[in-house]
Amino acid sequence: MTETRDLEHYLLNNYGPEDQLLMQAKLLLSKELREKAYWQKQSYLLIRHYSRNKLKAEIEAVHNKMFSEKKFESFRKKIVSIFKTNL
Amino acid sequence: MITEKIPIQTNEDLFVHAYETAFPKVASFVKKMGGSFEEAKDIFQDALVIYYEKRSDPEKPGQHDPSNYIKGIARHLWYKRYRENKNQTSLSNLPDLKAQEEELQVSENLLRFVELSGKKCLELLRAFYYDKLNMKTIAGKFGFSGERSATTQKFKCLEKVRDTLKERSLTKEDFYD
Repeated sequence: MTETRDLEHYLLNNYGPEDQLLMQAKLLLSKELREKAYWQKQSYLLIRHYSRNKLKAEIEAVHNKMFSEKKFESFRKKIVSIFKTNL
Repeated sequence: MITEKIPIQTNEDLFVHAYETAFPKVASFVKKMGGSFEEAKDIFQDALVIYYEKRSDPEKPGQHDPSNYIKGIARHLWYKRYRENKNQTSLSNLPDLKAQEEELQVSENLLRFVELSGKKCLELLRAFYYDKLNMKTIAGKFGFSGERSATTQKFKCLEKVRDTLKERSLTKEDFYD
């Protein structure tokens, strides 16, 4: 787990310049570590992709609520008045 | 401006509040520019995603009225997508959501596989890396005994995702060329 934590500090730029350089040196010397760093970076991208999809679904659910529930009627009227010809 | 007076606790609260305060502004702008309701909706929702992701940045928009900030992002997105006005530079440091997605070298199949094999892990990782919740909040939300335990589990989950990606990389159909 220490190695994963160290890679995280490096990949997310949480290290200071000295530690960042030290990790770069370790990466140069170890193919195994380089591979781990690559897949860890892909993992962060995957987490963001997953999270963003979930967030978009949450926003869409709120959108549907705003345009269907009675308590948001005045909001709807406001939007309808903006798009009178489009809706 | 009612923005700062409402205690926002959940994502749903945040989004409802954004819809009530920012969507009319974005809709008026898009309509004025000749756009449709659907275009206003798309632009607004992408702007909301960007706002959400930038909330915890040091130069975050929190000090300002979020509705004006979201409208500013939406204007930028509008010009970028529909007018291709390359002179719009005021918000040019905003992330390009689509370009960021392309950095990910795995297929939708693999995403689904990882999701199915560890949904709880992904939710924990989302809470930390994307929602930027602190470990104390995460420990409470996911039922860990404390921050230390939550941190350990977070790294175990990250390793699980990383190792799964690596193992599955042997089956090339899961990856783009």
